[in-house]
Amino acid sequence: MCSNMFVQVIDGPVQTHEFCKNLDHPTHGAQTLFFGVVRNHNEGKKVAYIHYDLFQSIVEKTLQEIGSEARQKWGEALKITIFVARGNLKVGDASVGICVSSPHRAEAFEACRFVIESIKKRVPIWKKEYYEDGKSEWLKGCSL
Amino acid sequence: MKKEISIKLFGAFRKYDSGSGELRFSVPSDANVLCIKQRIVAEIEKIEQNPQIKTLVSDSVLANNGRILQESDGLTEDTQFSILPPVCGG
Repeated sequence: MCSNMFVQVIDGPVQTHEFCKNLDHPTHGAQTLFFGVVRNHNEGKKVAYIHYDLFQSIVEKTLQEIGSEARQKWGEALKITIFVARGNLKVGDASVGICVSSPHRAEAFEACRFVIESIKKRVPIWKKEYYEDGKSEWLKGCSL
Repeated sequence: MKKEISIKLFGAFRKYDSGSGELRFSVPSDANVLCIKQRIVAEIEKIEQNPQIKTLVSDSVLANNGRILQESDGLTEDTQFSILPPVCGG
């Protein structure tokens, strides 16, 4: 594994204070952070919590690939950390966390956006929403 | 010649597991991924009549050893597969 890349599957919510560890570098002047957080509504329904299911080995492999692609595109100097959550998360919990550290802010912002958009389309994670009225459903997604 | 295979279930397919987290059935040893997907539909229809299951299986992919397979791929020595429904990301 590349020392400039770190990916991890977490049981339970992503702990936001875990970020930026080992990402400092004297040549880096920018760090962008992104957290995907459980929202209390979706398509008019009141969300109580979300269950996250995932296929760990392919998740880890695909996150590494996405990070490598970002570093090829915006520079090998980029340091990238990605955490994704598994299990039940309540409203306000972080389900995904991304930190990109780079020499300048433009590539940090762009690479971070690239990583989250790629995760939404390529990483085998599935969400089952549980609603306040007691109903639940698996959300539709993108075919791999 | 037939071969017994197992299909690990994720996401919307999990409710069809019989406690083991997977489906098990036999297929001809020259079956390809498309045949296995058709068989998954048949196995699930034994459990529940769901008019959307054909579409869900069609929109899903099969994987083994961490690799996503094409519908035309044939069976190798592998007997363990996973079916991955459309993904939602984090």
